[in-house]
Amino acid sequence: MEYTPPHTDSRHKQLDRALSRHQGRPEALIELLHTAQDVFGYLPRDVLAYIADALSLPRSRVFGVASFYPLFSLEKPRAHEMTICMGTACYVNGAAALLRTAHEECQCEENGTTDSLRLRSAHCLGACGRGPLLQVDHRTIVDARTEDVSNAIAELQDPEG
Amino acid sequence: MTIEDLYQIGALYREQLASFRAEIQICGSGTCRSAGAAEIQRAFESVCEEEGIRPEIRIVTTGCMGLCGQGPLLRVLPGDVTYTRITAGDAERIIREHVINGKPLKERMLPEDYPFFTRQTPVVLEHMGRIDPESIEDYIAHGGYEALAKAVTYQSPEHIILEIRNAGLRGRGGGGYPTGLKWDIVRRGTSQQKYVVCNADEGDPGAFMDRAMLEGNPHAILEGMAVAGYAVGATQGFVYVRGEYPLAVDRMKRAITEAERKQLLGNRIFDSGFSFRVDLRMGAGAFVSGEETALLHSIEGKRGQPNPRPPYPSQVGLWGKPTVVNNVETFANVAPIIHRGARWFQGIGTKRSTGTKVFALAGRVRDTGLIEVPMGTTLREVIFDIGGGITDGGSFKAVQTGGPSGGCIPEKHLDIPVDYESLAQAGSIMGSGGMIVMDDSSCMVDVAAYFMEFCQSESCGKCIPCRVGTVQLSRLLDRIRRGVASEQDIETLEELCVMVKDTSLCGLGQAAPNPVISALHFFRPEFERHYRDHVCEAGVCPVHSTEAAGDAAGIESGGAHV
Amino acid sequence: MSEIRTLTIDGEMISAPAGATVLDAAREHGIRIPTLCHLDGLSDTGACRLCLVEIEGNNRLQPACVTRVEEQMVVRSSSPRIEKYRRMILELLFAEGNHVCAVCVVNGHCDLQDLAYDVGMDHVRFDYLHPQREVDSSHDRFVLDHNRCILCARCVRVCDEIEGAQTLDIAGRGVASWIVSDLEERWGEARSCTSCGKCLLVCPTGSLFEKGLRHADSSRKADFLRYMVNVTRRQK
Repeated sequence: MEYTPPHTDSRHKQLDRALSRHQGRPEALIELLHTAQDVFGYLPRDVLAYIADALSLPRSRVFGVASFYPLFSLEKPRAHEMTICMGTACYVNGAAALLRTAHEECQCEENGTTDSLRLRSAHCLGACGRGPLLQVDHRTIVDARTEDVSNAIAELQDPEG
Repeated sequence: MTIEDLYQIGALYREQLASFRAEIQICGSGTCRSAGAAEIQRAFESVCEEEGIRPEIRIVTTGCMGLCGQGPLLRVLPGDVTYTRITAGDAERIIREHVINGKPLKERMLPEDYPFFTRQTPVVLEHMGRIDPESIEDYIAHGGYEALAKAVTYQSPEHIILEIRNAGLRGRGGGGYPTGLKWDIVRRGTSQQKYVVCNADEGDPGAFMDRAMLEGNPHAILEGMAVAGYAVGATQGFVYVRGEYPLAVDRMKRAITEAERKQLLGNRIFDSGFSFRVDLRMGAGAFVSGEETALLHSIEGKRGQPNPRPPYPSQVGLWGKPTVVNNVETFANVAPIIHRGARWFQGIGTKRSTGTKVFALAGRVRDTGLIEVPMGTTLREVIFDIGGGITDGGSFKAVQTGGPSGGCIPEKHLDIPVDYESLAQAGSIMGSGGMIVMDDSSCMVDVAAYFMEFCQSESCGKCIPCRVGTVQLSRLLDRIRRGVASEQDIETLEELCVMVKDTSLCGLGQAAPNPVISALHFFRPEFERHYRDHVCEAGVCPVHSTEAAGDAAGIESGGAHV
Repeated sequence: MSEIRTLTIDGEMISAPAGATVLDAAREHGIRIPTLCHLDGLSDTGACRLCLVEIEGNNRLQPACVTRVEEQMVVRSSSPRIEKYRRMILELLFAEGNHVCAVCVVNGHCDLQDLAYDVGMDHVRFDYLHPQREVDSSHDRFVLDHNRCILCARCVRVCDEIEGAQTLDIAGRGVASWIVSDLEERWGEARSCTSCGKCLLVCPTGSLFEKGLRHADSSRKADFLRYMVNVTRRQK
């Protein structure tokens, strides 16, 4: 399949700068995928093709790596993201109930999406002393309760109200 | 940079510190930040401005102070007074009454003899939560990089390895392999090129020791790596940091840049013949990449899948070259050992497990947080003396160590000492240091199923026993959870556990059945109550008497007893 | 002239050149160790775990395909425990995908099927996972039926190591892994594919097959395989 070569907008310039910093070395693949994801919010196919060509790597290999690591997203991001930590400490303090509430209120599964929201469960966010942990976009709520989940979802769905 | 330069930087910085009238340290750990540390810092700064004393007061964000459960934490010097559960609204009183009038707020401060702190032995965490992690000068002012200076200037690589071996330091990632022995194998490797890799891909759920160390004292890790580089003859190091820890990535990147600027990393360190560079690599969310051969693949830009061992990375590692792979805490132990000597280190801990161990104490325990105790401390001391017992006066049920590779230890084994061998004997492992306390609100069947689901979703898929075995184990456990398992299912479960353990390619699969095996060993009646009587006493599992009812209920319902 | 190592496999004293694998040494002496991901001429991954053997003094089972012979090594290629594990591996595989031999194009010429007979796997105790997988028939000549794929990665390795096209790789993780062509395009649209068909020849199941191939023709597969291995050996 043919891919549109990247435009010369500032976002691609950032990617190109990273490419030249790594001098096109194939071992920089994961670093470049991180850069691309920062810049574009996810990993579009034409960007993957561009990186593959720039590093002289087979496309299948680039896709294999990009799809292996959960932090890389091959889909366009939603406007909002809600993450519920399911680390052990959060789990024994009731994180499963938070996740259930989120499932019900978003009417979507774990790692699923609605029109405006992506719901994720994380394996551990490393703030175990105050679990359960709830992350809404870039805000973190410690000692979270199901009400926090409901309120956050209501807020995201109706930003005016 | 010479040793004299280093001493001078330290002395200058200490002078500067002494010139302040008071110092306010705010815990900047991930947990305390989530609980509002940044806002609190702004409040203290503006109150100091209002009072006209801003230039006389040092306000600094530190790494983790440890007592996460009572955060946000704040410390005032002089006096070394710790305040807990701080809000921005507390700034005015603390500044006026404590800092200006010299009268600490008795009712808000943590008692000086608070056992959470007094029962610990900080070695690795000595300066954590006290120094500014973004200032290399602060680290140097507390003796930082002196061990590296001493090593490259006065000591031979052989001597350093001997010192590490004599100290008895063992891998703190959980395996417990003697660090000096590993370094020696790499040193003896004939290759020109060798590498030092710091495994900071902390993936165990319920563990945050590495995160705290990376965020709170990154130079201690770099110094340990540089000493390792000198000892084994490597010129390049990599820190592989978990991608979920953006602050740790930033702090470590910053530390590397600062160390390079001060010529503590780079060419001809301390005017010796030793050159060493460190690059940071960021993980991308795959738990299995914490397995050392998988981690090396990830640094090489590949799928983070493991290789069969042998060969071990110390023989065939990064790009096929001999490579030291050690955990964050292991490297953080190096400078103290070089500094104070093997004999001092041996004096801490037990005969076979020397030194201390850092634990992330969490779950249903009153005081959660980051602690460091000598090896050999009992689990009871950790949970009841340091941790203050069970939350809300509940009753202890089990403590989980070693994460998804470990096991749950019941009450009757609480007096075993925390060391590699004793924990293994109790059916768990030391692991990297996650310690989750559980009370009656946890169901051991549910916990076993939780860990198996974790392993299943983190399996890389390369070998069949782990890829498919964990799925089948999850399904069997789920049947027990729903009360629809047969005696035959239990037999199959036990058989499959042993098979997955014996035949999987890497540590993830080999250890995945551990939580189930240990739960079955210690809590078998609880399993039987589920599949024989359809009862979950903790009220967690959706137990039902028929398959159809179980299916309909899915994961809904808590504690429906039949 | 390479050095020689002397070892014991299943009680038999044998010698093998240093650097040889336990599997090589065993096969050289007519001792059969079952394999699945291994294929002479391709790199080894030690992934399928069928060739696990017991080595005295080592409490972990080791895969014969990547374990090098050592002087005085004592190997057991078969024991009740190992045989049980081999049966369980096959059970797990049969439960994982959608393996319905009766309607499979390679029925009777399938490595997976043969192994199941060999190790005596006569029933599956595990839940059949019945995954919903696709059949990619977009290629002019070939079909990739993901339902019958066991993720042995022979096709990936032959495409990379022998043909050099690198069209195929493994994507995703764990039980949700799949064989991908290029950037997840349908196989027929993957521009790197040379349509050489080597992947079909190495596939141990009916996951990769030629369009219009009648069931009876599939016995040709084994001949191609032998030819290809010889070519590879010569290249090496």
